[in-house]
Amino acid sequence: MKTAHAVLLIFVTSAACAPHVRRFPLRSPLWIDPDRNHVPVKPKEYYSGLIGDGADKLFFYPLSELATVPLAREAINANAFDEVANSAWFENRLGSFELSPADAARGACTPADELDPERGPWVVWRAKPNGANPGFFIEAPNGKRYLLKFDGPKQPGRATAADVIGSKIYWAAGYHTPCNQIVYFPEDRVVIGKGAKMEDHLGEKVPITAEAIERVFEGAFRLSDGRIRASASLFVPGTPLGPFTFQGTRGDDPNDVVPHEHRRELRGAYVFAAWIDHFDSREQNTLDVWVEDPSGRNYLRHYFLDWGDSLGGRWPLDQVSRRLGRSYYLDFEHVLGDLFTLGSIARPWDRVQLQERELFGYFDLETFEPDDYRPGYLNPAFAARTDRDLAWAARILARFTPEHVRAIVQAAKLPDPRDEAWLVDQLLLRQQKFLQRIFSRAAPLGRFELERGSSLCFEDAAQLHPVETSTRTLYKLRFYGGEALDQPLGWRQLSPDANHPHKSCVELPIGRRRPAELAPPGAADDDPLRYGVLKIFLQPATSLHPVSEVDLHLYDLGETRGFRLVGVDRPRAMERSLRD
Amino acid sequence: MLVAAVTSTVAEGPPRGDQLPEESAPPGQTRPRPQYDPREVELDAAEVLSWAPRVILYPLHLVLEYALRRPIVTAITGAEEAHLFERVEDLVTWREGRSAVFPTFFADFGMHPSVGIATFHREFPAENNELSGSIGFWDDHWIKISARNRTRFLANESGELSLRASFETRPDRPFYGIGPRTADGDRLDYRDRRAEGCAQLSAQLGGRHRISLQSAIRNVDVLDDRDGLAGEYRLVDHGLELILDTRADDIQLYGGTGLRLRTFGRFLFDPREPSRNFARFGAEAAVFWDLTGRGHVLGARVYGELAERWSDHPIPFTELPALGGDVEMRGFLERRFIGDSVLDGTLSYRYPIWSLLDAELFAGLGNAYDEHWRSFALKRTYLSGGVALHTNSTLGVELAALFGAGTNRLDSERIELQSVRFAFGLMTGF
Repeated sequence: MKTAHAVLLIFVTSAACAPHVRRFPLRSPLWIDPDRNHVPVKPKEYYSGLIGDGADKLFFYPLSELATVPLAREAINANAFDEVANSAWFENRLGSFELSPADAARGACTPADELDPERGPWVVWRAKPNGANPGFFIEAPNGKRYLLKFDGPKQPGRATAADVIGSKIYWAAGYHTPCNQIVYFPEDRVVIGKGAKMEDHLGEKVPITAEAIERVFEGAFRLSDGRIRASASLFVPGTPLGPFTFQGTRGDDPNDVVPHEHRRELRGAYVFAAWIDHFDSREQNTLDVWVEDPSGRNYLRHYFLDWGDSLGGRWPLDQVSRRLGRSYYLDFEHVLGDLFTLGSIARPWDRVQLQERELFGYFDLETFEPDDYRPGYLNPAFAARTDRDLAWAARILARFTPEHVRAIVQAAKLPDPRDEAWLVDQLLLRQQKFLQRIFSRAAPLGRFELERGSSLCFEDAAQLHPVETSTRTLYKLRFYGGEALDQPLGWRQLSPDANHPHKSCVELPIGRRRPAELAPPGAADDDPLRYGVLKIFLQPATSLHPVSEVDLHLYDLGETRGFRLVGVDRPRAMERSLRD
Repeated sequence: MLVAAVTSTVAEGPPRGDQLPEESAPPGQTRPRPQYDPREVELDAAEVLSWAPRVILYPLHLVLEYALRRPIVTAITGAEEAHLFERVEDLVTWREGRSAVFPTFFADFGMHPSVGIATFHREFPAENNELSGSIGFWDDHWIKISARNRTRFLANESGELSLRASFETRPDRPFYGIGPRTADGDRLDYRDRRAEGCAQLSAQLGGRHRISLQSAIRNVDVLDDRDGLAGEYRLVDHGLELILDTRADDIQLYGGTGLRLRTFGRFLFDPREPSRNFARFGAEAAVFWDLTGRGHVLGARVYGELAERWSDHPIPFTELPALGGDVEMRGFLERRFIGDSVLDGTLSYRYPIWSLLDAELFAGLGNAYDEHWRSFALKRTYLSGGVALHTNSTLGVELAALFGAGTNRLDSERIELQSVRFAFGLMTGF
C-alpha cells in the first residue's frame, strides 16, 4: 500500500512539474469534420419540454454532476490550430473569411427565399395561436413554407427584430440557422387553407378558425397603414427531429461522438448569447434536422433557432425581468448567497435601469457582465466553457464591424429609426466590453498564415476595435528549438503597424539560427530537430508585463521550402521568465 | 539574407462554404472520434487526483442519476408531452385564470396543522367584484370555512365593500393565562367554535392612506369544562381604522421608505344585552427605510392596544388584546400574551432573495399588561425573534415559512429560551 502511494505521488508530481512540450505531427489540421457519414436509419424524434428540461438543469443535472467531481477541461473538438472544423454543427464564416455587411444582413437567406408581401395568398396550413409565441405556418406563392411569428403588445417590434437579428449574427458567426426576415403584410394576405388545423393548448388538433387568426393579429404590431409586422422563418431543408441537447450525445446518431458540452462551438455560443442577451438559450431553441442529401447520404444537421427573447425581452413581473440574463430563473447560488449575506451583495438586477429606448427593456451596458452571463437555466455547454473557448468566439465577435452590425440591425426593419440607431450603438458597446474583458487575459491573436514559407502573418482581433493605446501593444517573440525545445534560436519585439494595426507579419526565422540547422543533413521532414516553437507574448500598453501567450508550432523544412505551421497552443500559464 | 522559397507554403485554413466530407465509417456504424488535437494526451495532475473522490462518490452519483434524475425528469417530460400540466391548469383554473381553486396547507408546530382548498373568482359576477372562499381542516374537530365578497367602487376603484362570513372550530387554542406574568409551561388548550359575519367599507385616501369602517357580528362558544374558560357569547363589533402610510404607491409590495401610522377603535357589545359592552383601541407606528430602493427594508415598529371596560361585565378572554402568532411577537404561538393591554416593539429587516421570495429577520420585545399598561416596564417584557421567508407577489396568496424563538421574561433570574416556533404553509389573505 505504501509503495503504491509513493508511486502515485511520484507519478502525479512528475506529471505536474516536468516541463514537456507536446508536439504536433507534421500534418494539416482537421478543417472538415467527417460527421456526415450516411445514417441508414432515421433517428427518433426527440421531445424536450420546458418544465422537464428546466427542472433538470436547475436542480437534478447539477446535483448529479457534482457527484462526478467535474473538472474544467478543454473542448474536445478544437483542432490543431485551436479552431473549429466545418461540420454538421458549424461552418467557418466571419471568423475565417471576409463577409460583407450585405452578406451578414442576408444571413442564411438567398434571394429566392424572400417572402414577398405583395404576392399572395399566404395559405395557413397550421397554427399555434396560443402560448407565449403564437404563430402560423404558411405556404407562400413561391412554394416555400414559413413560420410567421408576431410581437406581443408589450415591446412591440422587439421580438420579431430580435429573431431576425439573432439569426443573422449566429449565421455570420458560423452556426446553422434558418432564414429569418421581417415582413409587413396586409391582414387579407393570409387565408386559411383547406383542412388546416391548429393545436390548442392541450395539443389537440382542431380546425383553424378566423377568430383564432384574429386573436393573434390583435396582439401584433401594426403600422399606421394597418399592415402587420411579423418575422418569417423559412423552413430549413429536411425533416425536423426535435432539438439537440447541450450535454451528452444523441444515442441514435452514429455521427455524434463528441459530448455536446465539450464541443467548442456550443461552448462558444455563450459569447453570442451574452452579446445579444439571448437568455432563452436552451435546447428547445435548437433543432436537429434529418437531411437527405442528393448524394444519397442521410445525416443530421444541427441548427440554432428562435431568438425572440433577445435584446431585452421582459416578462410580466418586473422583478423577474430584471434578473433575466443575470441570474437563472431559480438560482440557488444567488438565493443562498443573498439569504446568508442578508442581501448585502450588490446585485446587478437591483441596479439595472430601463433603457432610454424602452423597447429594449433592460438590455443595458452597465450591468452587463461578460464573464457571468446566465441564461434562464443552466446550459451545460455554456457552463463548461473555458477561456480558450471564449477567446475563440471572441475572435469571431471582434470581426463584426460597425458596418456589419448596422446592416444586420437594418434587416430587422424597426419602425422607429431612433430604436435602430440606439440598438446599433448598444450592440457595439457591449461588443467592446466583451472583447476588452476576454482579451485582457486571453491572446486575441489568430488567423495565422505563412506566406512563402517564411512570412508569418497573424491577426490581432483586439486591434479590430482599437482603443487609444492600441498601437503601443508589444508583441514579444521568442523562438525555441532543439531536442527539448528549450534552445533559444532568436527573439524579436514589434508593435502593430499604424496603417493596418490588426494584421502583423514577421519574417522567419527571427534569429540567426533556425531549427533545420540543428537537424542532421538529409533529416526527414518530421525529424524532431526540425521542430520549433515560436512563442508570442502580448503586452498591452497598459501593462508592465505580458498578459497572454500563443505558441506556434512549426516544422522547418529548410531554406528552400520554408516553415510549415502545424499547431497553435494557448498555454494557460505563461512562461515565468518572461512574466517576471 | 534568406532566399525566397521557390514554392509557397501557406498555412491551411478552413475551406470556404460547406463541403460534404469523405465518409469515415461504414453506414450506420458509430464513427471513430477524429484526432482533433493530434498531440499526445496531456496528463493533468488535478484529473489524476480527482479519480479517488470520483470512485468514492460514484455510488452517490448512480443514485442521483438513475434513482432520482432520470425517472423524475422522464416523468415530468412525459407529463409535459401529454399536456398534463395544461389539463391540470384547466381543471383548477377557468375564465382565463380569473377563477381558480388551489390547495392550501399550514403547519404551526405546537398546534394542529391544516390542509384545505381555496378558491377565488375575480371579476365575478361583475368586473369590479371578487368572490373567494376557503375550507381548511385537519380532523373532525378542526375546521374553518370562510367566504368573502369584495366589491370595488369609486374612481380608480379606490373604495371597497367587503362582506365576509366565517365559521371555525378547533380543539387546540392555546391559553397561557392573562396578564404580564405567564409562562409557556402554563399552556392549556381549549376548544372553541366561532361564527362571524362582517361588513367592511374602506376607501383609499390617496397613495397608501386608507380609512375603513367595519361592522361584524360573531358568536363564540368556548367549549371547555374548566372554570373560567367555558362560556358562550355574542358580540357586535363596530370599528373604525385609519392608516397613514407615506411610502410610495408604485413600488413593489414590501419596499419603500416612509412612515406608517395606524390607529383603530372598536366598540363591542352583546346585542342581547347591550349593557355588556367594551371598547378596544390601538395604534401602531412604524418607520421603514429601504436601503437600496429595491426592497432591502429596515423597519422599526411599535404597536399598542388596550381594552376599555365601559361596564362592570368582564371581557371574555378571547376578546382581550393579544400578542403572538403571525404579526406581533412571532416567536410565540398565537395569543400567547393576553391582557387588558398589550405593547410590542419590533425591529425587522426584510430583503429579497429571489424574484418572488423575501427573507426577513425580526426581533422584538413585548408583553401583555393590566389596564392601561399599568404594569409596564421594559424588564417585564419577553424577547421574540426569528427569520421568515415570504413570497412577495400581490396575488393574495402567500407561501411562507417562519422559524422563531422567544425567551422568558427579561426580569427572570436567567434568560432562557421558552418558545421555539416553526411554521410554514400556503395561506390566503383572508
